[in-house]
Amino acid sequence: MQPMISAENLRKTYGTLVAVEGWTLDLYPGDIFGFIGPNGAGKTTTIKMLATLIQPTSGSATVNGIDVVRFPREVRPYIGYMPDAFGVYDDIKVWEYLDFFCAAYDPPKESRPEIIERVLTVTDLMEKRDAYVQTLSRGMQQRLCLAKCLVHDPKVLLLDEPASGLDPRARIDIKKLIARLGALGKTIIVSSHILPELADFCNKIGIQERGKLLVSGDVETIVRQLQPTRQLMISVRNDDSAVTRLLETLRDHPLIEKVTRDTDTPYTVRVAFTGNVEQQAILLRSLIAEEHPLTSFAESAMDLEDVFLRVTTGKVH
Amino acid sequence: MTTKVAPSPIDALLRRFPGLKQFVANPIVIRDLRAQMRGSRSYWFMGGYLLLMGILAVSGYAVSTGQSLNPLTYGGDRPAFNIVDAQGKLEGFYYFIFITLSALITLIAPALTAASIVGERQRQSFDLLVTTPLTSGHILIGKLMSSIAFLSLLLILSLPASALCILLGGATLADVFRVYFLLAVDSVILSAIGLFFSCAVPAPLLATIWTYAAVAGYFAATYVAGAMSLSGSTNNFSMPLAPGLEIAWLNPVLAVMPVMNGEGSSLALLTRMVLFLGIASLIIRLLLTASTYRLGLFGAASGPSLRKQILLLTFVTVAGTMYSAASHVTMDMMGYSETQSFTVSSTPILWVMIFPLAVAMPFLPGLFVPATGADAPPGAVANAADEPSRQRRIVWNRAFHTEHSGSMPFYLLWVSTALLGAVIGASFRPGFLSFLSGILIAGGFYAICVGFLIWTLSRLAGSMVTQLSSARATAFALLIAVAGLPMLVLTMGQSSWETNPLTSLWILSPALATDHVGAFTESLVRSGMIAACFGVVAFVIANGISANRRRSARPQA
Repeated sequence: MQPMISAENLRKTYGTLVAVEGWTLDLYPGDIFGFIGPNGAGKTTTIKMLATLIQPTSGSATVNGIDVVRFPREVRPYIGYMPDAFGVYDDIKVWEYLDFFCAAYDPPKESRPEIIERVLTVTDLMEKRDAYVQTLSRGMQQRLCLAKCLVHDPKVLLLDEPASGLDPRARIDIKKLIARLGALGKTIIVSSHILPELADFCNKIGIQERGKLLVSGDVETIVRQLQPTRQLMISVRNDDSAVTRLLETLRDHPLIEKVTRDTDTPYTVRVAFTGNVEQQAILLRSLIAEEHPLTSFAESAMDLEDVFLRVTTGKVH
Repeated sequence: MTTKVAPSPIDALLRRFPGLKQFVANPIVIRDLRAQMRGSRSYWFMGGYLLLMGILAVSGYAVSTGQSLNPLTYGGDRPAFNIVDAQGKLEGFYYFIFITLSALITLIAPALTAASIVGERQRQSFDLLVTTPLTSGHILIGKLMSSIAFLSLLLILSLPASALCILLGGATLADVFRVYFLLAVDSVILSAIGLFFSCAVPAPLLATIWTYAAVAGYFAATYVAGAMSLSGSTNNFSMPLAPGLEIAWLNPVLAVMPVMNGEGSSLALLTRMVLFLGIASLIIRLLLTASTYRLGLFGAASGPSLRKQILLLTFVTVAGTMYSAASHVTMDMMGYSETQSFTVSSTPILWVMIFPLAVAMPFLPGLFVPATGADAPPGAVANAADEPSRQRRIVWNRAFHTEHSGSMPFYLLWVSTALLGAVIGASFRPGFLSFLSGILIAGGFYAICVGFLIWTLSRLAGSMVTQLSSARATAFALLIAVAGLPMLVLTMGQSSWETNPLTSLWILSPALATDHVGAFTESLVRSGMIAACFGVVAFVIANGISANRRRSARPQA
């Protein structure tokens, strides 16, 4: 399958400052790529290069197989770009704003009202159709900008910090919206400097620092790579002696690196397990055979925050 | 499926010629007009404007005809309203109305576009525009068109006031139509100036200041040029193609001056209006291309087109000026008659030779500095991995490339275009060509030598400084030093300029030797040679510096 977005060795320098370097990535239809990095890591520059706004100093990138540097105009109909900071025009209504961008893509004139209705429905702005753009709240303006990105039904969405500056409710709304768009088969790049924001709905992530993509790939692969042990959380019935017995049993297990009693949840033991899934099943079976009063046995959620810190601090040292 | 609606003729036309979409169905125009015309604000504005025009018309009538319109002041020592007296002074009323109108247009037109692009950048909505398939042409023409729409509204609303001139008898219907046409075209030029600075300058306030400065310059230049050519030709309007009037019409105030009645047929007038439209559209086109260049969207290579248009405009201007210089009328105007001995300074030839060069000088170092700096404008460097040797070589077919390193052939083309224009313009008068040929050859030689000097100074600056903007500044400073410092030395000397031996070393010395054709020609050749010598020295130093830099860079790599 042809990658929808493909970048090879993208590099952008401003004078002696290297903003982005050696940026290589392939994304396929349906991929939602979480692009994480601290402020000033070059995320916006990278996204702008893919959005045909900045000419890369060297390297190449294609969107839907079309070269971004050589044919920027041909690439533009395939992308919807949402900048991290954007302005709206005064004295213009929501539908007129969308009509303007719709007209820019030059579809048949009769189809424009339909398209506007569709994107307003998708972004849940239907009741604001005739409101003035400048009267919308920040969250609504973000959604309007996303609606603007959708008027031409692009295959690729480049969303630069779409959830920044939003209240939790609006943040959840926009996350849901992005997940829904990903399910429609669009290739999406979402950047953020806040990791948990992306963890739920991205299937690929990349961590960038100082212009370099430190790691990128499937969420699971990355976590596996950086965290060779599985975190198991094993809970027993509310009984201190049961916990002590469990701790003793586990301490002797050859595949367990470290056992600690969890401080957050009562009667729970945190286990760093080096084995694979089969060995994990064997462990569970043996614990039941030894009649431990188990109430739960679960692999803890992959801790992306941990991964992030590990990768980025590695760079600083 | 919905039923297929037959496309309207306009839709069919747009499908056939997609380029027309920039003008007909431009989304930017629609959006701007929607925002502009909304609500009661525009009614109030138009009402106020109409009221202002009305007050101006009434008070203008009273002032210009010397009549009081207040019945209470009649009688006593004040004479009653004298309609016969007033009719005799209606010309003043015409001037009053139309000069007010042209002043309004001159002030408003550039302001409409001066904030457009820079405003979008400031509002951070510009990136959203760029990522759509709209081209820079769409964006710029859209902005220009919404300004035109507003301006035409202002012009149409002023019709009641100017119609008074027809009604009362100050002007004919044809006069008013002509003036409105000329004012409309002029206002587009002024808007295009605003648009250019809106693209070129980073802050809205600065863009407005630059725009008004440029408009003032444009106004002064067209006024001087137009007034000079008009003063000679108003008595002799039967020359259908003498270029003076077209240039005068470029100035909004001169555009409202009435054309002498009964002189020249209406066909001649129409021809000249077409000619004027041609020159004006060339200027607008040039400004739009320059705006595209400064807009800095990658993927829009406007450099080559900009250069071709500069060549064309130079050719037209120089040919026109030379034709005007060769015609009897202008000769008389400039104080030259065939019986007098010919002095160079009393003809426009000097200006044709020196003036374009002088005007272009501040820009030439910028064009010639090699774009190796990291802050080079978009499209300035064709290939980031441009090896240093390529930048020093002259490659002829690169005259139309965007790179700055391709500028030397462009300069030579520019000089030859100007000379060709001069030859063709001058050839309209028999006997003039043989006289001019000596000056043309010497002038061409001088221009090429000075170009070589600018080129080498720019290379020198480029080899000393790596940042493009600093290199440009350095090149300009070097040029000023070479051209200006001798002037300082000369003025401090005790002897007069003519006798001082240092004068002959000064590259601008032809400007002093305009008393006699022979001396002028000789001075051109001598100064050209000196410029070439300076150029060779600069070239050797620049080569040395860059070779040294390459040598010191090699071990690290």
